Amino acid sequence: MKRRYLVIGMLAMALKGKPQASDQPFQKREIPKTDIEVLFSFYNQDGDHSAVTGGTGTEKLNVYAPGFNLDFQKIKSKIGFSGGVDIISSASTDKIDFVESSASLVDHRVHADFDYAHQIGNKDMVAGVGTGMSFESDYFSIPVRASFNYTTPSKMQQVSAAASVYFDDLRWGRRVGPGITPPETLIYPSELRYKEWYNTHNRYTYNLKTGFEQVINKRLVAAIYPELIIQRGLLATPFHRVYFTNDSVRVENFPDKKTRFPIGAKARYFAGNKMVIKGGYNFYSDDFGITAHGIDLEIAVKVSPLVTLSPFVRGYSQTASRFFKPYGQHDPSSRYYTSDYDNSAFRSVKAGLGFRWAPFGYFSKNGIFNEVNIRYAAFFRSDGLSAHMVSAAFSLSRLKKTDTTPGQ
Amino acid sequence: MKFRRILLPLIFLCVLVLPGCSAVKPWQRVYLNDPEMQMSSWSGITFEDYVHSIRTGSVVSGSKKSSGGCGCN
Repeated sequence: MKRRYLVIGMLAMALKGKPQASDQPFQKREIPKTDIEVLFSFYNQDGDHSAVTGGTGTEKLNVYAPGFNLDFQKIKSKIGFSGGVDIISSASTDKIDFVESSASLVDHRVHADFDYAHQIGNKDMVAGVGTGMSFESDYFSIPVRASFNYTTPSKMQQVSAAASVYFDDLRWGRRVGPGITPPETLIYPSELRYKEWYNTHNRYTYNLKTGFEQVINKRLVAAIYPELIIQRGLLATPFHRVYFTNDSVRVENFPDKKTRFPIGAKARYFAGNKMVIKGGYNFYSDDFGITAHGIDLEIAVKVSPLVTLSPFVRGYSQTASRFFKPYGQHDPSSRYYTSDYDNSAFRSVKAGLGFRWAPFGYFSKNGIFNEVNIRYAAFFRSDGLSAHMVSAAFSLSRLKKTDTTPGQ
Repeated sequence: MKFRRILLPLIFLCVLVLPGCSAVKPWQRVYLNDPEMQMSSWSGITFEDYVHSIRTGSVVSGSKKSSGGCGCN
């Protein structure tokens, strides 16, 4: 009796059933066409060791940084545009002229980047090129870069390399507006403009980044990132004062060559079903005498299928550059000198919380709201500098429906 | 010299770890494909790395930017 019902049921399913979509000669597939990310970052700091006034005085600074990223994704290539404006309000910049024009002076950094990446053949090999510009009243930078990325057929390893060159001009006075004005001169502190302190206004940065990523098992992946940076030209900041033991004052001075070796290691481990542990270690060494170590730990907890909370902490320690001394302690016979506390010996800690909401829901026929990321970090340096950073990003995608041939 | 002191232990660590790697089939990549497992970082972390490169004497290896801004205030 039971067997009869079973046979009738199976016959009904066979008559009612349809072939699976994959058996059709053509199937409809959705390909992300354009990824849009809108970003807003805010940075605030305060301290009492401004390099503009020789290692003493306020370092109060606010930066508002709206920006965007656009990625146009095609079958085998990707075009990326990104840009933004940093609105910088700095108390110490007033002290270049000792003109108390306001509580703080406002400057802007405008930056834009263009990148093109193309998949080579049918393999997981991607080559890319890019350029852009970064523009401030006292700084103009043009980067040129090329990158290469290869993933093995097993997807167990990934190798990447990127080479870039930055052409920087540190002259002051350029303006963009109704008429573009060319840069005029290096800007020195008002009392030190009686002579030219440097014989160049250019800085060149050559950067080689490499990366090797390895899947250890189905829950663990690790990566290592060795890097080499070589800098040439004017490496000092022209309006940083340095005070000497004989009460004389000069502008900051560095050698015109610098070699830097950062190397980092990262690991990601998926623990249980709701937690990702992210760890990292960074080492840095340069020929100005700075050696640094940094350790990161972040734990991403999926509190619901859509929401992830990520508390994180970073500990950091560096030795001083051999050219650094505090206010009024430099020997007048020294050749190179700075009182910029970014080059001093210190320890720092950064801690904060990340929030991610990823609904991946349609807001129109072809538009997907991917995710919202918000991140807050507090930064404390052992020399007394403290800072707060907030970033928020909204990510959308616009899809294009295409017909694809079988097997794709 | 200091760089070599760090690089050699890392290479040694790689030599130790690599034989312990187990092949992961495509259908076993559910954890590895999770967005939180990716090494690339979103723009907020890139901004923090940029601040780090300005407010310390070092740069974060593998971060997006190593120059191209004054950061002199």
